[in-house]
Amino acid sequence: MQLRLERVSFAYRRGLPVLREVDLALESGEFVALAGRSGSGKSTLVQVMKGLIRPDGGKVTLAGTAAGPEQLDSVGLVFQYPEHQLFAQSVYDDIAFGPRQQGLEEQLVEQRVLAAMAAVGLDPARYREASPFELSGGEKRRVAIAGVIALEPRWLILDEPTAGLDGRGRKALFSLLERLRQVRGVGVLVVTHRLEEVLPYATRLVVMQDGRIIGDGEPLALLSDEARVRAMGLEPLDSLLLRQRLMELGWPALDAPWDVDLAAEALLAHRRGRAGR
Amino acid sequence: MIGTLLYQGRGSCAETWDPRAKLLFVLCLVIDLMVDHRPGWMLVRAAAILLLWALSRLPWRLLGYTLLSVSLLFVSTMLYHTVIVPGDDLQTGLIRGAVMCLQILGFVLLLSFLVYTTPPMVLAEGMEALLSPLKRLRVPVHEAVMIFTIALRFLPILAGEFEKVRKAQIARGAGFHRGRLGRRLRGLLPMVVPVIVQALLRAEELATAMEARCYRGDVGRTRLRCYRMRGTDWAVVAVGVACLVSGVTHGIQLLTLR
Repeated sequence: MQLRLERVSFAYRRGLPVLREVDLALESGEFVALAGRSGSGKSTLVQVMKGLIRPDGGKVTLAGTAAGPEQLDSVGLVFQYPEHQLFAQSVYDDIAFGPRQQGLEEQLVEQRVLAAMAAVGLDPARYREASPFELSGGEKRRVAIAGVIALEPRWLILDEPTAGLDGRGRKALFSLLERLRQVRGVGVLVVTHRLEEVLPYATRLVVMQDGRIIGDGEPLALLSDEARVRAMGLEPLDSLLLRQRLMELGWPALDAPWDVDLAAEALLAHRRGRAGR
Repeated sequence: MIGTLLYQGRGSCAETWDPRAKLLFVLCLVIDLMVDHRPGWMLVRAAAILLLWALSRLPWRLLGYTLLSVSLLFVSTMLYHTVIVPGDDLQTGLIRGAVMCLQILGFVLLLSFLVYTTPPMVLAEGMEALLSPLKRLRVPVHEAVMIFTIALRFLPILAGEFEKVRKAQIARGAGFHRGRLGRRLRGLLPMVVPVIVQALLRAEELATAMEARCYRGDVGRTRLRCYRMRGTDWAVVAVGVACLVSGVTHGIQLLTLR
């Protein structure tokens, strides 16, 4: 299945376009990173994909047919600081909010909630009846994300999901997304300012500037040229600068320099190879 | 939406008037409006308010919105005076209703003028200066004004927050686009609770931030802006007082004639 934006335009105020004829297609099972400077239109774009904003021009299609808000239920959107949306008296009720709104039977709701809690690593025995307001920031965020996962979306879009999370929380979040992608075939789109943390997982990078998509493709290909990266309004990645430097010193080009383990292994293998020669 | 309730910043001369002068001016005119109902004067006042609006370079669209927002009140006022409590005859009822409508309109437009041409902080400081004699009576003027300003300042933030939470809940299935009214109303809870929680957290943070910057209340506090009444400001006050005097003398005349 494909979620597709076709020539989508949008302006909050007339004469100030935020999106200009954006074309973008997301396959289910894909892991995509969306980057771009603040104000480039990323957050607006993801709201269009969820049907929260009706575009002024162009359309959103799902598997080839035009989709309004109701059809876009299969898209899950996690906003920035999603923990600010918690409201229920217990963690269980908060996560169950979405499935109940869909009119599911309570038995099915419970299944969904427990599965979502397991997915984000919240132990039901401990958290089920806890008040969401008494949890730590990281736990709250997991509850909020579970609330979206419980809707069993086919696409999961997250707007800056790691803002304010500690290193462990960030890692846990990305491995959760990767698991959802592998096990359920969920298409994942992550809006981020820190490419380094998402690139070990993302196989595709989309870059926005001034409401347009100015780059869409394999991350390494898009990011390896420093001048081009700067032109796209991004900061060159340290790991790519290191890769560049190593290449200048005669080391082989690294395939995934942002993955420390892979990079280290590649370098070690190269050295062993040289020593063996 | 909220933008139509706040300071417009059009760079007009009315914005440079001293807030105390403006407050006194508006206060005088409002009292005058209450005591003096002569139809001729009503027209003069209407013209004066329009002139004030033009002088402040406020958009006429804003005047239209304001009129529209009080139009329901006009309808109910007219109904009250003609149908529910009709006086001796229809004509007096109509006149009485019309006068009252004009009064309401006058209040609303005068207050709008005040709010649109004065930044909230300046307005609050002006109010505090005018009310400062009450401090001797141990009325917490400074605190009250500060609370008022903070509340005003937080309105747009809360509005933005509400919008964000609304969208977030829709994103997880709160169907505002489906269901009947009852269900839609019940759907308000998931919007309101997070906003209130956030507001409380924000208030706590603000209190800490104020303490961190050594805010200790009114006593010993210096001000960023110093207000001094200039010639224009006195003239503005004089116009207001003149209107007030004319209105009050007319009112006294009416009373003694009776």
